[in-house]
Amino acid sequence: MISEIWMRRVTQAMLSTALVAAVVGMAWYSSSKNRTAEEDASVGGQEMVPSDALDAEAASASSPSETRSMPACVDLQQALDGLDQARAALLREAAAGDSETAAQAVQGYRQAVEAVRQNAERLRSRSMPDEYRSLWQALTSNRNDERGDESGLAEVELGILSVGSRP
Amino acid sequence: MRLRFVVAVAVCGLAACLQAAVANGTESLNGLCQRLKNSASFVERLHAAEALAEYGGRAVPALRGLLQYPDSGVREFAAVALSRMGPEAEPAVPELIGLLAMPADPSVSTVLATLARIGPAAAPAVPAIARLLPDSDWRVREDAIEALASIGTADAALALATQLERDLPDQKLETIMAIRECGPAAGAILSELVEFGSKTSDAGLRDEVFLSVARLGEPALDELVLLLDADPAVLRRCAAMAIGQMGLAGRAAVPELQVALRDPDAAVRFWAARALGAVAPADPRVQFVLWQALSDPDADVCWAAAESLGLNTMARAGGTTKGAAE
Repeated sequence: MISEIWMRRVTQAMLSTALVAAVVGMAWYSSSKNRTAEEDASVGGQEMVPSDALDAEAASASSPSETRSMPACVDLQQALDGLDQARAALLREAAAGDSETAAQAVQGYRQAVEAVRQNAERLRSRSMPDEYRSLWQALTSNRNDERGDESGLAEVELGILSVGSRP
Repeated sequence: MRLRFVVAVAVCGLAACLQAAVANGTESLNGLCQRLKNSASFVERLHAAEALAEYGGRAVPALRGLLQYPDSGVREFAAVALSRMGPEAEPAVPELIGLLAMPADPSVSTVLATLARIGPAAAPAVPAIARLLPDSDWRVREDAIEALASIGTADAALALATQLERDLPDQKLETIMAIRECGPAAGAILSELVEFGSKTSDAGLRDEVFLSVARLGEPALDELVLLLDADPAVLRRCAAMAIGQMGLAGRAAVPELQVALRDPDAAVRFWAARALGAVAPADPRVQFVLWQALSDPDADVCWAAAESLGLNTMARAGGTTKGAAE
């Protein structure tokens, strides 16, 4: 009888200890998780720029969709549309075989390329390097051009005249 | 009740047995070193290296010995094991430096990666890594640049600055990014950075250089303010852009930025307007000049002033199709 009571007490003590240990363990785990998050945040704050500066930077930086309202961006979009039209006209006239009209179309295409180049340069000087890249991709993604963004960029930067071949 | 007691004891016993089983299942350090040295199988060696890395600092003395082994394959896998340990592998830095001095050693890339993982504690290796920067193999150069970036000390930044002077155009951008990774230690080469940015003809590279300068925060402000007066206009533009990236740390430049808002070059005025909004958005004097800039002849400058004043955001929030600048 005595040994049974003793055994019951020992078992209760073990279970109580396990329960307390589990509760303490849970509390420690959750606090360490919070602490880790705080440490991560503080480590992030030890970058080269002070955290308040980073906040200000984040606050002042415009998202690509907001930057698309910039006049330089709007003008470049229009110039790209003009380039598409000039290319289509060039191919149409070249296929028709009238050399005089085709020469005019070539001239129009050259002017359209120049307009895109100027507006692209204007946008480049008014945007951050990575911002310019993403803006360019956003602008060209709506174009009816299956060649992809890179070829569009090459066309503008190199002034390639795709006469006689698929644009 | 007795049953509960038996169950509790059984659980404890099971845990103890499991621990013992795990301990017995771990191969000894010596055994793993032998496997790494003698095995002909790549996979087995890799497993041995991974298992050695699990030992952490206790395996470092054995791995230091393996780094001096005649077989380059053994040396390479020892370096792999050390690279998995990260900063814990610091005691092996002298042996790793010794490997960098060996001409055309096949493990050089692994050794550089290991030093990169050790990080700032591998600072004594900077001179040896710097000697690899003019290497004819671009991969070795790239690994050396990455290692210096991870070490990130002032000496590492200085070594990277010398790389900018070399005639290796393909890795200039990587070098600039590596300098940026060095953090505040890159302040040691502030004047070199500004000089390189002022001289380079590559527009993209120039922008990245000035963004790196901006990351240095307030210590770089004086150099950038001086450039607001420089020629050509592209330098003034980069300086204004960089100050804007500093955020509130650049607020001491407000008077010079106000002057830049009257610059003959529209791009300079554009970045001055953006910068003023970033460095002192609540300053009434700044808001006054930004309101004046709304009548600038250049549409982009008007847009930038409106953006800094928050007018574009208000217009967007109001659902209007016309920008406030218009």
